[in-house]
Amino acid sequence: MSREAVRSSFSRCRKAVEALFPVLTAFFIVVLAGCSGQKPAAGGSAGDSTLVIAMLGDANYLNPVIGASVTSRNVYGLLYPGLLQSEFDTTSGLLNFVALERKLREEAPQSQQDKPRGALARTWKMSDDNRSITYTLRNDARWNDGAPVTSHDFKFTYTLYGNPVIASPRQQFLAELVGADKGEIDFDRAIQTPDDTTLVFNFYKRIPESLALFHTSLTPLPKHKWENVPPREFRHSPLNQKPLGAGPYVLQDWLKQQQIVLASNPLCNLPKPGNIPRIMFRVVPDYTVRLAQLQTGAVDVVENIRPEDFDGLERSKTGVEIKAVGLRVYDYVGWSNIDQEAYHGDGTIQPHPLFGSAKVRRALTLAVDRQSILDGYLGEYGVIASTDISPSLKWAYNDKVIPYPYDPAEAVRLLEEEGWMPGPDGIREKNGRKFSFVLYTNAGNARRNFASVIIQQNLREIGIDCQLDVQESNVFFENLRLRRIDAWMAGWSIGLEIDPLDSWGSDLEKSRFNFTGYRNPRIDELCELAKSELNLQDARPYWMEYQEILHRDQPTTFLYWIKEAQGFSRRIKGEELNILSTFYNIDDWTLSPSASVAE
Amino acid sequence: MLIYIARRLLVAIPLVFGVLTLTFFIIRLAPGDPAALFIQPGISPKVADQIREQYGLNDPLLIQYVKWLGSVLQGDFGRSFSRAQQPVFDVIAQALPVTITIALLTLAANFILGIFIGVISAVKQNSYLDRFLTVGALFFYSMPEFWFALMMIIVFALKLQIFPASGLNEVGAESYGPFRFLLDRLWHLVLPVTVLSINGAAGIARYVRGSMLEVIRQDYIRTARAKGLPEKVVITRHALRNALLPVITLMGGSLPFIFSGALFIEVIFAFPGMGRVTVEAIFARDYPLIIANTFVSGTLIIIGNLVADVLYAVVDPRIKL
Repeated sequence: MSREAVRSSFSRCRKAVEALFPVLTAFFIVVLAGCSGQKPAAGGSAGDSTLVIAMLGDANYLNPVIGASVTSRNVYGLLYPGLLQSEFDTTSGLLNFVALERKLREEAPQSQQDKPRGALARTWKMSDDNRSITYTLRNDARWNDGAPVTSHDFKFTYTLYGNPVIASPRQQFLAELVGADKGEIDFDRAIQTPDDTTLVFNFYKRIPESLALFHTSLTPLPKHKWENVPPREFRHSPLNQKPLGAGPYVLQDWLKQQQIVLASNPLCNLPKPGNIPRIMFRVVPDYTVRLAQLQTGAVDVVENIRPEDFDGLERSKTGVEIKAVGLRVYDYVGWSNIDQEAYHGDGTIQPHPLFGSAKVRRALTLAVDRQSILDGYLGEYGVIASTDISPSLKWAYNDKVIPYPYDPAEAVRLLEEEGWMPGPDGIREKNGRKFSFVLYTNAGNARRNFASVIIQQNLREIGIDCQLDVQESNVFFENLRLRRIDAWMAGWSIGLEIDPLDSWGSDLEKSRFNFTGYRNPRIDELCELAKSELNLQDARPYWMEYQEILHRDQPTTFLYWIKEAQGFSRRIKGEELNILSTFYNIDDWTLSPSASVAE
Repeated sequence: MLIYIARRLLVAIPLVFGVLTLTFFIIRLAPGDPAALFIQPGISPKVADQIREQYGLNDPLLIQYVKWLGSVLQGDFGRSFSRAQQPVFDVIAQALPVTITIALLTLAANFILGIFIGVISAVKQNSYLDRFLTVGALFFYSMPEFWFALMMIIVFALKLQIFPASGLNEVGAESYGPFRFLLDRLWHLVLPVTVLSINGAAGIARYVRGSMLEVIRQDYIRTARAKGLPEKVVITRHALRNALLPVITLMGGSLPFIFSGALFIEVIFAFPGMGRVTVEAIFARDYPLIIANTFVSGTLIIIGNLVADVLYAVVDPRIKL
């Protein structure tokens, strides 16, 4: 290249850069300014008046009719009033419903006794035939714009819950209302509002009082705000961004995918304005970062802490307390009880060649060393499971059913009784079929990864070949749902009311979550019998037998119940954890002043 | 040249369109269901179907495609499934500035750092400093960025507590004045931009070193030295300027890398940018949002490549467009 050419090319280059640079700089400033163009809100330093809660993802809707995620529920629960308040009685494991002047279970000892109650209902009356319930509402409840909360708000909101165009995930709560058995709820007959403070729900069949209370206490929306929103536009109505409620908190600011800020609602009398002036829910998707922020005091609450991090957290300078609530979540190894190929082929139901026999499944459970999985991972935060009824639901739990011990010798004996003999390579065989399968699990779950490796090892020791495979969660659950995999490891989070027909019912078309294809007519019968009892506790004998049968049949190998552990900054006072929610009484929490909190 | 640019842009239209069509079919054929969230015990089996009806997923695939095509041609990419039915471009309009900020800062840091290291190692060729820098660059170049990011968080956010670990701003930053707010924002950007740029800078440093070594041996450098110019002037004014020519073209080409790097950086540091939007959209099978993201990032990459090609012609007169 000649000098001239170099010089000319260089000067062109410089021109280009010179021309570009102001543009770039200007762009920078615009972009930065664009990001920072948020209105400066009033208020002093955040530290001692703001509680910061880390959350995995943003809330989708702050609207009780369509809000689907746990975060949504945690947030809108603070914005809206409730017809009833619910409590969980840890001595019996029963749900209790509380109105201003009445409780479902008066005998239950309560810590909340003297605190003001926030329910909208003063009292209720269940009709003698158990086919209708009548609420009397308080007359001093107001939405934040001053309009009274009336029975019409409830009726209106229930029509929204039941509208198929809106597709509320809570439609199931309307399943007993008049007309639901014929496919369409007759709202005029099902919900009646003789005056502003009287609210009547009518059911097409007799139902237990506890179920009636549970299913009629969905959160209301203010009718005067929402009645002109067409159902098609319900999900994207701008009202969703500015929810009008009446709860202890109001929405102050919602920066999508970043944070939700709530401020204590001075107008609230349901029951009172929240103690902590501001609550901030901050989106922190990465677990390691959530943990680091809890340690530095940047956030105050992180849910679902992994056991391996307990020590580090408890030693951290800012002071973190680990708290666990009841047992609602369990892991299991699912065995397809039926031959899926035949089922998908011509619809016939035949036992699975490997897992079709209860004796083999019992052998598999005996061969898995559940205690060492617990010792190695969950420690004291896990309990070996015998069936899918949680030990926390004491009224229904059968403590005579003892989980199978780790006993590989007995497992071998059972397998050989069933004809599974060691082959030349050490893997058991029967009629030319090797006992060899793939155990699937979903990606990104450290606990299940840990357990699956131990299970593989345990099974290898009794001559069973188990390959491990990890699938992306969406793919994994689709495969489960379509009953495409023979053996898998997964978990369930149970509801507080027991209704297991969906997971064990013999009608495989109807029982969508019976992934194993387990069928036992006695289980169907027991579930129906239990459901027909008008008093929950009277169903106890049925649940006792249910657990004995599941224990004997081992449709899945129940592994362990998990105590979900939550990390709390020590500056939080007054928190009462509860199986219902980590944030059960958050409006009663207080913050003690602390120097370690960032300004 | 203008004709060239216009031609390239015209060619880009069917290209983007083809990419979108492919994406449309691939995501719908992939396993997983946007309504999967609503298939769980305690939720009526009807709900998932009603949701699919809302999303228009109950139509046959071809009908869905025609409907989609119709609205895309009118500039309507639809509403997000997973983000409260926000129009997808609203979602992107909120996310894009964050990513562009990170990308531009990274680009600048990349080149400043890379050129600086490259020049030093070229000038001090084969010295211990050069070896140290070369090995160091290679070390960072081969380090997985996500791991590096977590290490930086552990060291600087957790142990030393100098920089924040996540978010765009401190808790309560809304009450800061504009200057303090900007400073706080920059403070939050230090770790992620460092992580993203160190890797790229290491690569650029290697380029600069090579190109610098070549230039330094040219006659005109010897002439400059012979004229008695100080070494500093020779290096910065005569050598570096010429050595930078090939490096400038890297700028356009590195854009896609910076964008893909932003993907996990945003997840780790909890920035509400394009990367996180994309990742979350994929996990939620949020079809309209995935397609809109593909559209935006595809367009940016095509423009990046175009800029690279144009820069070639601008800096090197031997290339005619």
